[in-house]
This record gives sequence, C-alpha cells and structure tokens, in this order.
Amino acid sequence: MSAGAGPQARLWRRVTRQPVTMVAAGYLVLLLFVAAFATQLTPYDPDAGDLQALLQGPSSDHLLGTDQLGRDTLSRLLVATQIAVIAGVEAIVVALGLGVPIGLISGYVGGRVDRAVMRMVDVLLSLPGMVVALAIIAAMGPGLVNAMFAVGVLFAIRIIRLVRGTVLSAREELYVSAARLSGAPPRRVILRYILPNVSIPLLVEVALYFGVALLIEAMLSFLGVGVQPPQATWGTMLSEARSYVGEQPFLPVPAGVMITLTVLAFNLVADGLSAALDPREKRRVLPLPDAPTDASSADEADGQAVLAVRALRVRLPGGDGGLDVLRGVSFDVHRGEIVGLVGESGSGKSLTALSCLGLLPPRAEVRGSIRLLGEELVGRPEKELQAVRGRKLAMVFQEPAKALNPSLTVGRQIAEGLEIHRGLSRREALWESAELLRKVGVPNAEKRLREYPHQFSGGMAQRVVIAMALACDPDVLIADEPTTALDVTTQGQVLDLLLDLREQTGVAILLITHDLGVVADLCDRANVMYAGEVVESAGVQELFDRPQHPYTTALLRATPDDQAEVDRLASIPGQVPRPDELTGGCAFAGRCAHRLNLCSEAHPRMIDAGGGVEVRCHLHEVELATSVAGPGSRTRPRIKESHDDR
Amino acid sequence: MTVNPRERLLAVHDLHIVYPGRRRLLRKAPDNHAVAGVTFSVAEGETFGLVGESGSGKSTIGRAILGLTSVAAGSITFRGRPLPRDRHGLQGYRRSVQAVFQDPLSSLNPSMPVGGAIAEPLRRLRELSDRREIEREICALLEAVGLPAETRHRYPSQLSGGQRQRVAIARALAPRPELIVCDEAVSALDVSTQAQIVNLFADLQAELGVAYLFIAHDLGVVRHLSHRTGVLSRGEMVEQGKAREVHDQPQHPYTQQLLAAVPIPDPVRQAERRIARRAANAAPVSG
Repeated sequence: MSAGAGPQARLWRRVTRQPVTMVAAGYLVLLLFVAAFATQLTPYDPDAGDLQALLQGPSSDHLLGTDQLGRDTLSRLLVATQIAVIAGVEAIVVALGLGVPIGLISGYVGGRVDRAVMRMVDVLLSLPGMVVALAIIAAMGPGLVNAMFAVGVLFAIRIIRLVRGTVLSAREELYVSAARLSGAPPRRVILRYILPNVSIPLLVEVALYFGVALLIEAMLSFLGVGVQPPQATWGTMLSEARSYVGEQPFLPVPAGVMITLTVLAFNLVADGLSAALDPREKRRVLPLPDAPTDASSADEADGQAVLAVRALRVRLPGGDGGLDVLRGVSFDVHRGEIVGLVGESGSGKSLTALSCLGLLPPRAEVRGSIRLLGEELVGRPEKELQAVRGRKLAMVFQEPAKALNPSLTVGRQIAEGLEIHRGLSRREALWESAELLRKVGVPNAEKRLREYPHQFSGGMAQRVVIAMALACDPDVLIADEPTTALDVTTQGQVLDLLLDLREQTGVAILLITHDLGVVADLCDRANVMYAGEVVESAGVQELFDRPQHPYTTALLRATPDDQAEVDRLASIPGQVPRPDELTGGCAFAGRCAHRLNLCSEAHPRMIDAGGGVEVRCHLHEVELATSVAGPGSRTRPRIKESHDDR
Repeated sequence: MTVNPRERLLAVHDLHIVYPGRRRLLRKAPDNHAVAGVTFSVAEGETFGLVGESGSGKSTIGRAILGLTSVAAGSITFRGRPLPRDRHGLQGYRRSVQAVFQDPLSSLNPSMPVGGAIAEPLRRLRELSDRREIEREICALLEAVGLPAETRHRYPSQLSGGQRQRVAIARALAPRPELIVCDEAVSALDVSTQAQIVNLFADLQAELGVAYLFIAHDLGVVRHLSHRTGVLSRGEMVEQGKAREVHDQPQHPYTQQLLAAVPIPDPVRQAERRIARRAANAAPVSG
C-alpha cells in the first residue's frame, strides 16, 4: 500500500491530532483490554462472598470495598466490564448485520423494495425505542443476549436510514456511473464503490451507539429484564447497591463512575470522528496580524486609486509553518475602471479578492496594505470591515444560486441591505429594490420581488446578486468569476450589464476570471497572476498584442482561437506549483521555455517594461541591462520572437 | 483534418428522451421532453462535436448512448446493431463504447487508488485475471496518457485536475474502445491543462483510431477538436455539418447567436463583435 492518502488515512491523521479524542480512545482500548482479561485480573472470585467483610468501604484488602454479600466490588466491576463489552459488541454486530445490508439494498435497488423498507422503518421509528425493545424481550424472554439483540434491532433501524441516504447520494456520483461502464457487476459496485463511502459516517454512528448500548444494557439490567442477578453487570450492581446505599454510600459509586466514564469516552470519540470528517476548520478568533511590515511601498499608493493593493501577502495554516498563498500582490483600481485579475486555479486571484473583503479563512496571516479610498483595511477589526463591506465595497460571486438565501424572497434580500446600510424604512427599501431590479434588467420587477431565488434562471439570479451588490452604491465592485457558471449567451448579457453599470454609475470593477475572452471583452487593464503573485500588469491592448511574460504568452497560445488553423494547441508542460513547492526562484521557471540559469535561483522583481506594462521576469532584466549597455538596443524583448515561432 | 469516408460506427436516429414529470397528489407535473428527435452519426476514427447550452439535452444524449438513461423513442445503433438491453450484451457493448466525464474528481472513487479504477475494466471487460498482466497493462495505459507508472498507487485526492482527467482517460481506454463519449471532458480544467488534455485526445485518436463524441459547451475547444459539429438547442439539433463550416459560416440563427456570444481573446475584434451582437440583440428576432 502507498503512504495512505485515502479518505480513511486522512481521517486517521486528523483524529490523531485531537488530544481529547486520543485520551478517550486510549481509555476505550484499556477498557477492551480489561474486558478481554477480566477473569485473570480479578483479585477475588467475583461471586464468592466473604461474610466477615460485608458492605465495606475501600481498603487495602478490597480496593473498591465489598457489597452486601461480602463480594469484592473491584472483581465484580472487572467481570461486569467484560459483560458490558460483550453486550455492546452484540448490539453493534446485530445493528450492522441487519442495518447495512438492508440499507444498501434498499438504497441501490430503489423502487418498491425501498418503499416497503422505508415504511417499516418509519413505523418503528415512530414508536418509543424502549417499547420496541421491551416487546422484543417479551417475545424472546429476558436475558442479556435477547436484550442486546433487541437493542441491536433498534440501532439497525437508524442505520438503515443512514446507509440508504448515503447510498442514494453515492449512486448519483459519476464514479459509480464510471464503475458500471467499466463492467463492474452490481454487487461489486455496492461493495467496492459505495460501501467504503458509507463506512466513515457509519464509524461515527457505531461509536455513538456503542455508548448508548452500554447505557441501555445497564438500564435493562437495573430494571431486571436484562442480565439476571447474581451475575455482575454494571446495571445489576447499581440495582443491588440501591437497597444498601444507606449503609454503605460508596457502594453504587464504582459502577456509576464506570458507566459515566465509558459512555462519555464513546461520545467523545464519536465527536472527534465527526469533527475530523468535517473539512471546515474550527472557527477561532485570532489575534490581528502585525501592522504591515513589508508594505514600505504603501505610502506610494496612488492617491487617485479607489482600491490600492500593495505587497499583499497571505499565509494560510498548513504545511511546515504555513503556506504562502499570496506572495506580494500589488495593483490599483481607479474610479470607473474595470481591472482584471487573470489566472488559473491556484494563482491566488480569488484569495486576493477575499483579502480585500476581509473574508479570508480564520487563522490566515495577512501582511501588506489594502487601501480603499485611502483608508487602510488590513488589520482593521471585523466590526469596522463589516461597515465597509456592502457599503463601499461589494462582491458578486461565481454561483448566484449559492449567494442567495433560498428561504427568503428576492425582494427581502435586496431590501435588507438597504435597511441596514442606508437606514431606509421597510417600504422605502422595497420601492428602492424594485428600482434596482429594473436597473439590472430584470423584467416585471415588482412581481419578481415577491419570488424566491429558485424561481430565477441562472442569468436572472446573477442579476439579482448584482442588484444586491449595487444596493448601497459601492465605490468598488469585486466580481469573482461572475459568468463562469452561466451559459455563454447569458454570460454575454451579464457582461453587458456590468459595462452599462460602469457607464452609468462610475463604479470601479475588479473582475476575477480565468477566461481571457472575458478580459478582452470587458477590462481596461489586466493583472496576470501566477502562483500567488502578479507576473504581468498591462493595458488589455498591450497585453494581448505584445504579451511580455512567457506565462502570458503561453496562456494566450493555449486558448483555442476562433481563427487559427492549427492541429495542436500550444500547451504549457507541467502544472502550477503548489505553495509548498515554491523555491527561491521564479515560480514559472519549471514550465518556461525561455528559462535562464538565473531563473531557478533568484526571484525576479517587477520591472517597468515601458508603455504602462510591468513584468516580473528575468529575461526583461537581462534585456534591459544589455540594451542600456550595448548599442542597437531593441525596444521589444525577445519574448516577442517566441510568440511568433510556431 | 479531413476524414476519408469510413464506416459508420454510431448512428442515432430520431432520438426522443422524456423525463416523466413527478406525480403529485392530484395532478402530474408535465413531462420534460429533454431530447426531441435528434439524428446524427459518428464514423470510425471521427470526432463529432455536440455543442449546446445547459438544458439543451447534450449530456442526456451522451448518457443514453452509454446505456445509462432509457430512451422513449427512436434508435441508437452501434455498428448497425441496436443498443443491447441484457447484461451480457451490455458488457460487450461497453468494451466498444466508453466515457470520460466532466469532473475527474467525482468520476473517480475517492477511496480507491487510481490503479484500481483502471484495473476494473481490465478485469471485467477485457477479462484479464493474471495479476501481473493487469499491473503491466495499467502501467502501459498510464504511460499512454502521459503519467508515470507510480501514479497507480495514488488516490484521486493526491492528483491535480489534469492528472485525474488523464487517469479517467486511461480507464476509458482500458477495454480498447472504438468510441469514447467525452461529456464536458475538459471544461473543468484550467486553460493550460485543458490544452494538454485536448492534445492528448488528438494524439490518442491519431495513434489508436478511436472515435469521439465530444460533448461540450465551449465552442472554441469543439471547433479545434471536431471533424463535424452538431448544435443542440432545447433538445433539438438545429444545425450540423463540417466543424469549420458550422463555426465559420453558421446558418441557423441560434448557432449565430451562440458564436457571437463567445468573447474572443482579442480586444479590438471583441469590441467589434460586442457592438454587432448588441445591435443584433436590440432588434428582437426570436425573443
């Protein structure tokens, strides 16, 4: 097997990082050990009474005292532990043995089988569990085995539901379709493709149920329908202790503590497992990052820019000492300007946007400077950022369906922003909302205000999101892949809308996209990002006509053109390096066709290539040096040649 | 990229696919006619591009051809024989027709090393049983798609998007199919990776003579890769023909509208196109 990077291995790694879970799990392992060797560990015969020593407290002879018949409590507790574990295992085995196959079949086969199973499950779940268990015990007779079988059946009902639900969603996964296309028979599809994905959530349930099973076993024995005295179980020990608690108050303590500790340990393990399954980081409030240290250029921030980002660095937790996902990003957005942030996934373009909004994940370290209308945003407390977001700075996300609340009418959602940020009354806000919807080109605005997001098509929903963003007349609109999820004809309409809004309101737009066509269509200026930094910044005309950075050139050539008659697309070998793979040199060096020795050693600076173009490439530095030194300097660096070489 | 007239591999004739409306308490929601009378064919070693926007029925047609969706009316024939219905026949059919889906992460089982995904069709469809032979085949297939042999021990989560899609292609190639249905197979990838995979598809076709039904919404990629293109709108094929002709001289208004909407990476020409498109849209033609 490989280093183990399947979901199971990942789960294990996460769980081992939780100290509480590990302590609880350690306790349970100890418990299992005790249960396995209980008979060897008992200092006395658990059933033999010493009539000389009745109802004693803890002493050196009897560490946990004795009971009303003079039996050693520690010995009885050890034996009881064994029974408890056996009982728990039985219940779980029954639960899994019944629940998993029935759930799998019900979910995978579907149709009539599924309906029949689910109706039965519904009926059983609508009865109190204890009643069902007692009915089964009444039918089968008392005793531990029967009692735990009953408990197992109760759990099985819940497991059926869980497994069926997981199967239903897994069935729709493409890899299940792919397995069927690969010729895998149904049995194999279920066991090898669906079951492993059920197994992890099942693990959490099993841990939880084990604890509950112990509790129920204790309860049933306490009531006298489970294990019968004189056999020692935690339940019978408690039950017997009840009568003598007046004479020896310590008597119920050992069994009570055991039950509490054990059930608690199972719950903690289940909690730990489900926390480890949840990919979201635990929310934690973090101290603000230091005042910007390496933003010496912050003072140079262009006075006219509505949004000026300087030397923005972001480090996220992970790897050794964090991952540098943004490594010094600088750019300006002026009033009425549409500026593109272009890059592939992993380039840091979306993180740049989130930084501007102050919406980075918790535990992100931010350095540098982000100035909105001259005001520094980095290091500002969340409360102040909230006031900025929505009022001066607004955001349009990629998927309109996710940006809207499905349970509120569209009108309510637009009006809310107006009420909070502009202090309008409810009626004024609603009136204003209709006005906004008209502005973004939603027909029948008054009627549509009363509708819910699911009644809107993708393009119309994105218009609503844009309307919400415009509600407070922001100075800067950040649009993160606003048309990527839309059809191409709808995309055209939404892009038209953004252009029109810029004309009408003079709002500055920071457009984040991977689509060079969208950049050419909309932007005045573009910043090409690669591996967490801007590698080229230029006016669009310059960028497309004379790309300066080898990455920009390669990206343009890799985009299928509507005119070129080539048999092969020019691709870029390899892939974008991950933040932890970056070395001191140029991030693109490994994939660059024009690499010099220098490139993998020294990190290139951003240099002015003239004509408002800035580029982060050693070739240009070398070019600049030679053109200054030698005669016959060329205005066009050598990248140009490579652009035409095919 | 001209093709000699070759034998017809897949023929779809007057295909109708209907998703029945959900039955409510008293009334039934109307049926959804996802595909309404679509006819086209794919020849040996050819790439047929099927383009359309969401809801056009393009993916539904792909699933029907793969036997994953039932057909209401019309026919799908492969080498002149209708799509088999029994399991045995379907096994044989799947030897010839394979698929590569859009999202390579969800098309690979997260809890199985990728070698296992490729072994599946080798065992089930090629009926190989010798462990060492399967291992050898996996390595050869990975090499064919440009991945090192060690990749077989990796889990999908350890690979990049492009690498995963290469694995999905290796899996599709495993039974030595004659046709691969590529459903948005490059649309989830970054531009530079997309170009690599598009080239890989072209190389594999040149080498193995496999035909593709290339379903996509990206007209640029389809134009680049296809020999012939069909344009779908609301379940109907509105135009089909040689790829270059459909793309460069579209006849149907819908195709024209679709092509005009694609922003091209050239600011000057794009500005002209924008003006032309807005003028065309301002005069309402079809609402």
